[in-house]
Amino acid sequence: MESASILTWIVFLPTIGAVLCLFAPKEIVKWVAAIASAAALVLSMVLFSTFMGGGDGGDGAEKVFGQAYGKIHHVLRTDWIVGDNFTIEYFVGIDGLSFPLFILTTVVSFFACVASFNMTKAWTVKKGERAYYVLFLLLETGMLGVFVALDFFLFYIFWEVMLLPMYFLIGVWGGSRKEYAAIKFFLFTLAGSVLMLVALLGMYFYSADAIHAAIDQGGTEVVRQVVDGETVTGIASGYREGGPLLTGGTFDLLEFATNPVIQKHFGSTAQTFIWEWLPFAPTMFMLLFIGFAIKLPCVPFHTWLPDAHVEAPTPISMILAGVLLKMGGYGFLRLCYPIFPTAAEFWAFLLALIGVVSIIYGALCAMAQTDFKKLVAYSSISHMGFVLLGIAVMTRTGFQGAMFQMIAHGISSPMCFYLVGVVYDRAHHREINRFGGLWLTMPKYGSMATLGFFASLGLPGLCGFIGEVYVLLGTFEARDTYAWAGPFAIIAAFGVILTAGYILWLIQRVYLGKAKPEYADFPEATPRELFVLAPFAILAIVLGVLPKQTLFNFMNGTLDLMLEHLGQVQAMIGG
Amino acid sequence: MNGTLAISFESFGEQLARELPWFSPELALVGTIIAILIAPLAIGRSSRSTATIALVGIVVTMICTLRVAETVKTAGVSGLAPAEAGGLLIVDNLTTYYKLILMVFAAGVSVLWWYGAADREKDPPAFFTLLLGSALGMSLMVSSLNLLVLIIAIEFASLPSYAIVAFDKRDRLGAEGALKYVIFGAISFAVLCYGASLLYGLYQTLDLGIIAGAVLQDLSAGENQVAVALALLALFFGIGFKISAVPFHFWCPDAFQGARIEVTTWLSVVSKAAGLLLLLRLVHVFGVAAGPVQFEAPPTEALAWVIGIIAMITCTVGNLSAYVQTSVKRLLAYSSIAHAGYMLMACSIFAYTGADSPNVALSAVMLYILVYLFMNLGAFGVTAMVVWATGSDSIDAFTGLIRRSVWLAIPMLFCLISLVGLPPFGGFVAKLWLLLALANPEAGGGTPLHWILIIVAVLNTLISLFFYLRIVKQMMLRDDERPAVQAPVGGLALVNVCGVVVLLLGFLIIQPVTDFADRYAANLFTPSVTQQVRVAEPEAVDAVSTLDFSDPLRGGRMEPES
Repeated sequence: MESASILTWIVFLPTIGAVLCLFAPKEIVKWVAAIASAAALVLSMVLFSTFMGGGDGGDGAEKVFGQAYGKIHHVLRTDWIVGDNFTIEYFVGIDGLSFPLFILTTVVSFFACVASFNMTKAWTVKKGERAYYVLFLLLETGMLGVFVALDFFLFYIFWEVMLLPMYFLIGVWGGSRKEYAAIKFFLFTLAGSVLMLVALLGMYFYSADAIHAAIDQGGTEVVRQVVDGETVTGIASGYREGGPLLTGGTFDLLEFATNPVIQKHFGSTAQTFIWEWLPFAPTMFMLLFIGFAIKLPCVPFHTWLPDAHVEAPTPISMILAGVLLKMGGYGFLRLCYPIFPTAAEFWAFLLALIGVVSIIYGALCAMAQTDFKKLVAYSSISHMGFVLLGIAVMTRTGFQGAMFQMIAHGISSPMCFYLVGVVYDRAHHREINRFGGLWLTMPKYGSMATLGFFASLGLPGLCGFIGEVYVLLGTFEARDTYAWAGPFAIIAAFGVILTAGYILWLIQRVYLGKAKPEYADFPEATPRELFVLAPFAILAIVLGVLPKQTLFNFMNGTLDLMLEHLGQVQAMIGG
Repeated sequence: MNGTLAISFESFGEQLARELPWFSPELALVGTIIAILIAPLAIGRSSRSTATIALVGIVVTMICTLRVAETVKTAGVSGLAPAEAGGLLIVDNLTTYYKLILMVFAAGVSVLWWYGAADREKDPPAFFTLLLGSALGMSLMVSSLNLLVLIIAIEFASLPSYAIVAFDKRDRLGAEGALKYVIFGAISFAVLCYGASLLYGLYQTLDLGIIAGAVLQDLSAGENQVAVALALLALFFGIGFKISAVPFHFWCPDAFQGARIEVTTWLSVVSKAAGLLLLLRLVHVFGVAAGPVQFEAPPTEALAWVIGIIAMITCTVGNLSAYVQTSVKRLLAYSSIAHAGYMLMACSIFAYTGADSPNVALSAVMLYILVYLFMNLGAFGVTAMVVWATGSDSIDAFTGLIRRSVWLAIPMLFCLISLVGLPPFGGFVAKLWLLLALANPEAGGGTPLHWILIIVAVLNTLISLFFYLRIVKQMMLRDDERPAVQAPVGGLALVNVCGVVVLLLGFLIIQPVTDFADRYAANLFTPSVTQQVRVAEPEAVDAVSTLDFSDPLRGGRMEPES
């Protein structure tokens, strides 16, 4: 049973909630917001029925161009803007790649929304509770939209729609340096997205070139179809059998990846962009990569993250770490790799290097922090380095590890940020060295904290472990292809040790030791706080114990098909 | 129906009767101005009566324009005087579109004036005479391909603008701004005339279609290059002044800051739009003369590079200068320079894809102007109301606006973010369409120049974010105990309508609006670009080497054909 409109409903339920928030009486605004994001959460659970039962992707995938990369479910596509020489579609759908991230988004958003109830001080001082929830819900729509948009233009719109709410959420309700952090976030992300915009234009017009050239040459790809009594000459779609023919450029993300005509044109080493000396595919890949790398973030582009995280209010940090960072990784897997596989190989060393540097550098930075929140922020950079490394080596295990790492980090990092938030609400400072013995004063909270940080550390049995191990194994596997893969895997493995180092040291300084008198009167975690923490804790354990049933089953099919597809494209272009 | 029909077959009276209806919008505007001037004799010079007459005139003009728009839907016409290739004035989709924009904007500015200045206005008839007079001049600017009419129209649009900037006689800033405006205007006008006289001397015709054909012929043949280049640059100087393209922009911030805010709003959109559309019409004519898309043939390429480079400099300078401003009016003035730069980029697309397919560059600029109209009216409207309430137009006056007046802060936010060019606001769509036009090889874009322009444009988006966000930051992130801003309800309605339109333009009504722009960008009046009769000159002068500057009319003559 596939409903075409369900994704649209989930994406825009928060927007409806935002509109209701505008008009709701002041006292119930937060409940309206919570109900709206809960509704999105519940509705997104319906999607499980599609993906349950033995994995996705392989079964019933349409047989075109080898295997298209996975079947897209719950597709809704309709022409949105039809120009003289281009068509922009409202095209949403979900597959094994976006499904786990989509669910993660609804989960994290809902609990971040509940966590926002705690910001009572902010409401009494600054008011603006209504505005907060409206922006929060708009942000959720943007995030959900990015994961299901399959038209590049639509993807870009959703991507940009997130910027403004985030700017205000950090800038209005943030800490002491909120203005600086907010503008820095805005500027970095916008810098990435304008590069993406150039790539969007380039991909559109070069795909038009490809199609026109193919039609003019009249090769075997050219098909004639009769539509409304008129004969249309065009190129068959790469993944839709019997679909409308391509007669010009496209914004369709799947078409870019699967259409042999476009792929040959994009991937050809002779293809240049604007100037003779600028190869097309590596340039486009880099433009997109930088856009996503800023979001991920990996090392040269990461400086916005510690500022944004430290200044953002706790629920927004949860969203930032839990969902926004994943968009970078998702962008790699949705845009960069399937569309420009040859360029991916071209840049593999650089990407893996950036990944490894992020892992080590992030971990070392985290170790040096005395601010609790900044430590968690730098640990995110380190963890996201694994994602990049896993993707860069382009092995099956590496891809799976990267995806798993994204989800695992999406569970452990919001939990860690919330843990920091809970203690900050009581102590009003985040100096690690001033804490001590919190486990004694707040036993329930302390247990949760230990679990959360161990999950982040990558303790076997918890979610962080699987992703890191898979990435490391995947990198090792690639040593036949890339000479550098082996050494990189070893260096990255040291990152795991560094992670253990700073997290254990953190736990020792904050939670262990003698209870300090100034914290003796700290109340235990409230039921609401436990309500936010418990689901993350449960998920961290379940994902760690049953990785196959909870995650791999849903996404492996799609990832396998994608890798197979990458191999085919490389063979086609190479041969 | 073509205005170039030989007139010998019909009397002048018949021709007039046939052609005058095409120019009914201009006539309605003239009638309105006369009515405004005469009415005080009968009913006194009150603000209310003057504004009513003006508004009626604007509505009548708009209705006339819509009627004419139907007539010229499939083909532009040109008429009102004998000429070898075309008449003196043109009516086509471009001119009707501009007149529609002009009238919508005139109505918006009148509303602003009504709430801001009507009570203390000393001489309402004079204000509206100048406002509508400049509107008439601007509409003539985009309606001609005759060198002489063009010069007159540009001056016709400029003179009332100078006066209206200095309308508050005792205001020093206004007087200073107007003085700078006049001096720059006079110089650029002189240069323009010089360029025009060079062109006339070279080709002995006033018809820009023929001139374009001859210019391209000369450029590709390597003849008269210096004289032609000089003439075209001079022409561009004159138009660049109207657009306030860098380096002809120095008047703009001062005049904009000194003028009343309604006047600033008026000049920021339609005056620049007139210059841009005039330039686009010339570009179109050159495109026609160059033949259907052959970008390898270089005569237009040099022109494209000149315009492209000036466009790049214009938007970069505009954005960088805006960054240090503390006056919002001045900041928006620089922002208008930057936006003129973006639109100027599209003027570097020389192409002709056939009469009935829309001119992609023109369509993009038309869409941009439409969106720009609403976002600028909104931003200036909010600024106006803040100025009226607080007496200051510094960014500081916007502190905590979200608390002090949420119905001012929200439309201002929408308009500013739209000016940056972020989705889901109209400014993004406008900018994207511009970039799509630039990158489109079928429409004559997609060359290295255009990709450089695209990259410069997106980087400028990044720069512009800084200073637009400075206002946003002041409105939303900062607050002190300032009193609420009291604003007139009508003014609030105006800016909120603008805010909502800007938002809707961003996603919901893209399709109808782009269709609208496409429809008006097609079927332009296409002049004949070849000269039927070329007057032979008795003496043969070697073109470039003997260029005699003491006698420009003779200096650059073409060699007569053998």
